[in-house]
Amino acid sequence: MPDAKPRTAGAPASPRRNRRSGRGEARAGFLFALPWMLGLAIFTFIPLILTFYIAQTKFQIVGPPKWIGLQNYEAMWTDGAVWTSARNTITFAVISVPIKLALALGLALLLHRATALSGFYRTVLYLPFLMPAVAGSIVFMLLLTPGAGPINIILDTLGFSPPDWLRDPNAALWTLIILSLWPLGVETIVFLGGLQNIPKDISEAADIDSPRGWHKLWWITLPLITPMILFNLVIGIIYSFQIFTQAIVIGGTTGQPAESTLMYMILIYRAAFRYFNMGYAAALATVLFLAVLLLTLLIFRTARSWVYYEGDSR
Amino acid sequence: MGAVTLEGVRKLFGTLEVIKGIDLTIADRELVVFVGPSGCGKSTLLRMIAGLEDVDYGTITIAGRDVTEAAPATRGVAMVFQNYALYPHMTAYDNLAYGLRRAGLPRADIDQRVRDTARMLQITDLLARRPKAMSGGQRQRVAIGRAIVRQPQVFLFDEPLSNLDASLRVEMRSQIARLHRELAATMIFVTHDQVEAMTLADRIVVLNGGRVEQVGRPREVYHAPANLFVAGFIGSPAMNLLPARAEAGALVLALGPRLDWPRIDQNGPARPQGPVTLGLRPDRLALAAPGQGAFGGEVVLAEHLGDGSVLHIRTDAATTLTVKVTGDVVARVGDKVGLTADLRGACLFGPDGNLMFTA
Amino acid sequence: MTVDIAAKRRTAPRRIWQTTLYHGGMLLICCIFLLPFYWMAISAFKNNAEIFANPVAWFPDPIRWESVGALFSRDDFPVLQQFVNSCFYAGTVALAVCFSCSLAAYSFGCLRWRGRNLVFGLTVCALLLPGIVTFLPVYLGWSAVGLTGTYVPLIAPFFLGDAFFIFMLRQFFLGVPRELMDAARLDGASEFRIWWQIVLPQVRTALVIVGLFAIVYTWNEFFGPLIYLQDREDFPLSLGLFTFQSTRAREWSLSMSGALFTALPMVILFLLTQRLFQRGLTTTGLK
Repeated sequence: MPDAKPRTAGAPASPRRNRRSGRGEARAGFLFALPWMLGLAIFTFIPLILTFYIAQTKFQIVGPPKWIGLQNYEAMWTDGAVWTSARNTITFAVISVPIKLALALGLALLLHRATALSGFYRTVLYLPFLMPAVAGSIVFMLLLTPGAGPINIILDTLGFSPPDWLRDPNAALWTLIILSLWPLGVETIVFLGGLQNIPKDISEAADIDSPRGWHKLWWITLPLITPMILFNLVIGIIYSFQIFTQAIVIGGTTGQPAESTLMYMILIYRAAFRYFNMGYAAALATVLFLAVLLLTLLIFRTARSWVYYEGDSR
Repeated sequence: MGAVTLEGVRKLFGTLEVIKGIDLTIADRELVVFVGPSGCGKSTLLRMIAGLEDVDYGTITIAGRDVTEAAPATRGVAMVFQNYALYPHMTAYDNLAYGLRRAGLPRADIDQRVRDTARMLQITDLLARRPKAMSGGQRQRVAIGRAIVRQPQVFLFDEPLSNLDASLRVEMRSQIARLHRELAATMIFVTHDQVEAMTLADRIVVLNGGRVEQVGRPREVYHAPANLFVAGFIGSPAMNLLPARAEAGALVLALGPRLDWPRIDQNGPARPQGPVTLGLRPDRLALAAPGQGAFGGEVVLAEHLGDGSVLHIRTDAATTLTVKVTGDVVARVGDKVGLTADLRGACLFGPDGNLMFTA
Repeated sequence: MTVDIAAKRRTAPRRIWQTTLYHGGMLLICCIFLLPFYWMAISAFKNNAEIFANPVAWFPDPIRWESVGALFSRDDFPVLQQFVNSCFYAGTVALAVCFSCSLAAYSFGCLRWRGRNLVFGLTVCALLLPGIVTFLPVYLGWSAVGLTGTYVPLIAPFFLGDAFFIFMLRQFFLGVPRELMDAARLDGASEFRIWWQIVLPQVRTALVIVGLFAIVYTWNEFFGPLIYLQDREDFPLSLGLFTFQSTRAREWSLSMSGALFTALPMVILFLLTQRLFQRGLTTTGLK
C-alpha cells in the first residue's frame, strides 16, 4: 500500500488522555480538601499524639510540663475513683447500649408499617433527640423525684415499690440508663432505613416460605439489617463510654450519691479543670481511648461472621 | 386436588376498582397463563391467589379449601418472582432448604429433597454459592427450585422470564414446560409476552382492565378470539381489523372494496346488524400486482425476517394493513402493490365488539 | 360473569383487632415519650409548692404565668442574653460548617485526586475517635494563645470542617451527575467556579439539612462552652441552665421554665423542617 505510513510493529496506539484537565482536577481536589486536612491535623491527629505525650508529664498549667514517664499511670492504678468511674462507665455502656438497640429495633419494626399515622409517630419518637441534654437531664431528675415526679406515682399505682432514684446509690445509675434510652430517634431511623431497604419481593418470598411470623423476622429481616446493627452498636459504644453532660447534671462532679454516677469522663474533667492536673487527665484519656479502640476493633473483627455485606463477593 | 377457583373476586385500591369481578376455575395439573397488557391486573390477581394482596369481595379456593383469609404460608402455594427474590445472605442450598427447615422437617429429608430438586434443575454445583455469585439464569433456576422443593399445590410464576435475555428465555420456557410435565402440578403463569402464553399454556386467560376477556385453549384464543381486544392482542403481528358494513352475501369495507362472503346471510344465524368489523390475520393477505386484488396501496415499512417478511402497506384511505409473506419478497418501501384477501379463518365482529362467527 | 350485588365487603375481624391493638400500643408509646416534655411544660407553669404537692396535679391549676415570667428577671440566670448567645453560636457554626464542609465534601465526592481515599479514610477515623482524647491539647493550645473565655475556640475549628458533616454532605455530593461538571470543564470553567455555580445549587437542600443539623448540634452543645467560657453573660443557654440548676437546685419551677425555654426553639425548628431532618438521617444511615 503506497499510502500507508511505516509504523513500528507492535506499537500500541497511545490513548489521548487529556492530561491537563486530569491534573487540574487533581490539584483542585487537593486544594479543596486542604482546609479540612489542616483541620484534621490541627484539631484531631496532632492533639491525639500530644495527649499521649502530655500523659507522661506532670503539667499544672502554671509552669512547664515535667517529664515523669509512666508515673501518672501508676497513680491511676491506685486511685479508687478511677476504678469506680471505670466500673460505672462500663456498667452503663454494657447495659444501656444493648437495651437501646433492642428498643430502637422494636420501634423501627413497629414504624415499618405504612399507616395514616406513621408520620405522626415518627415525629413524636424523634422529638426527644432534639431536647438539649442539659434540659433533658434536669427534667428527668424531676420526673424521678419521689413525691413530685409522675414516674414513681405511676409505678406506685401499678403496684411496684419504686426506689428513691436520685438518692439511692443502687438506683442512681439506672436514672442515667433510662435517660439515655429516651432519645431513640437516630438509632430508630437508621434501623428503619435498613428495613425499608430490604427489597419488597424478598420480603414477600419470605412471607410465602415462613410458617410463623417470627421466622421471617429472625432468619430473613434481622440478618439483612446487620450492617445497621453494627453501625448503631459501634456508635453507641463510642458515645456511651464518653457520657458526660447527663452524668454531670444528675450527679455533679462527685457522682452523687456516693459516687454511683461518677463516670470516667467526669473524672477526666475534674482532673483537668478542678485540680488542674493536666498530665493525669491526659493519662486517663489515653486509657479510655485505647479501651474504646480495642473494643471497636474487636467488634469489627467479629463483624465479618455475623454482618451481611452487600456488594461483597466472597 | 390442586385446583384453584375464583368466585366474584374484586379488588379496590381506594375507590379505584382494579379487579372487577372475576370468576375462574383452574383444574388440577393445568398450566394456565394470565396474559394481558400492562396494568390489566394479571399480577395483582396472581398475588391475590398467593395471599400477598387482600381480596375485597369474593372467594378464592385452593384444593377445595377456602383460603381467602389465609396467610400466604398456609395456602399451599409457591411463587417464583420476576426478580427471583432469593435470600441474598444465604447459599442456594439454604435458600432451597429454608421453608422446609422452618416447617420442621428432619435434616435427612430436607437434604434429600434439596438434592433431588437441584438435580432436576441442574443446579447441583451451585448449591454452595450465594446469589451474588450467580448469573440471572442460574438465579432463576434456584428460585424455581425453591418453589419445587416445597411441593406446593399450586405453582405461581410472576413474569419470571422477563429479566432474562432472549436465548435464555427460550431455554427456560422449555424447561418450565418440561417441569410441568414431570411434576404434573397446577401452575399459574403470568406474562405480558403472548408467545410465552401461546407456547406454554394449557389454557390462556386474557385479561384487560381487571376483567377476563377470554379463557380458552391457545388455538381457540388464536382462531376464535372472543372480542376485538383479544383479536388485536393475540397474534404477532396483530390481526388487521377493518370496519365494514354487512349486506346480503357480502361485506362492504369502509376502505372501499366489496368482498363476497356467502356466510353473511340475512336470514341465517349470522345475520349482521349495524356496523361490523372484519378481522384478517396478516397471513390471510397475499401480494398481487398493483391494481389487482381487493386492496391496493404503498409499502411504507418492510421488515425482513429471513424466512419471510412483514410488510406494512398503506392503502389509499390512510389505513395501514399488515401482510405476512413467506419466502423471498422483492417488494421494497415505496412500491405500489395490490392485495388479495383469503376469507378462510377470517373473523367477523359485531357492533358490540364480540365475535359473531369465524369462517 | 356473575356479580353478586349482595356480596359483603370483606374485612377480617382479625385485621380490625390487629389494627386497633397496633395503634393503641403506638399511642401509648407516644405518651411515654412525650411525658417528659409534658411534665416540663406543666411544671414551668406551677410554683415550687405545687410541683411537690401531694397528690401532684397533672395539669397546672391555676396556670401561673408569673412562674415563667420570673425567669426573665433573674440576675443569676440571664436567659435572654444567653438565648442571643446561643443563636449567635449556633448560627455562626452552621454557616461555617456549610461553607467549609461543602468544600471538603465536594473534594471527596466529586473530584478524583491521589490520596483522596486515604484522607477520607482518616476522616472516617476522626468520626469514630472519642473527643475525649483530643480536647486536652486543644484546650491548652487555645489557653496559650489567650483565647479561652471567648467563643473563638468553639467556632473557629468549624471554619476548617467537621468530620460528621463532611461525611453527611459527601453522600449528597455523590449524587451529583458527573456529566454536569464535565460539561462545565469543557466550557473552561475553573474548579472553583464549578463548585460555586454548578454543583452547590444542586445540593442546596443538602446544605440546608446540614445547616439544620449543625444548629441543633450546636444549640445542645455543652462540654465545649463549659470548659472555655467563664463569664455567665457569655454562656449559651445549655450552660446557663446547668449553672443555674446546680447552684439553685431547689428552684424547680424556674429550672423547668429554663428547660422549656432551652428546648422549645429546637422543637419548633424541628416541627417546621421535619422532612429535611428525616432525609438527612436516612442518607447517612445507609453506610
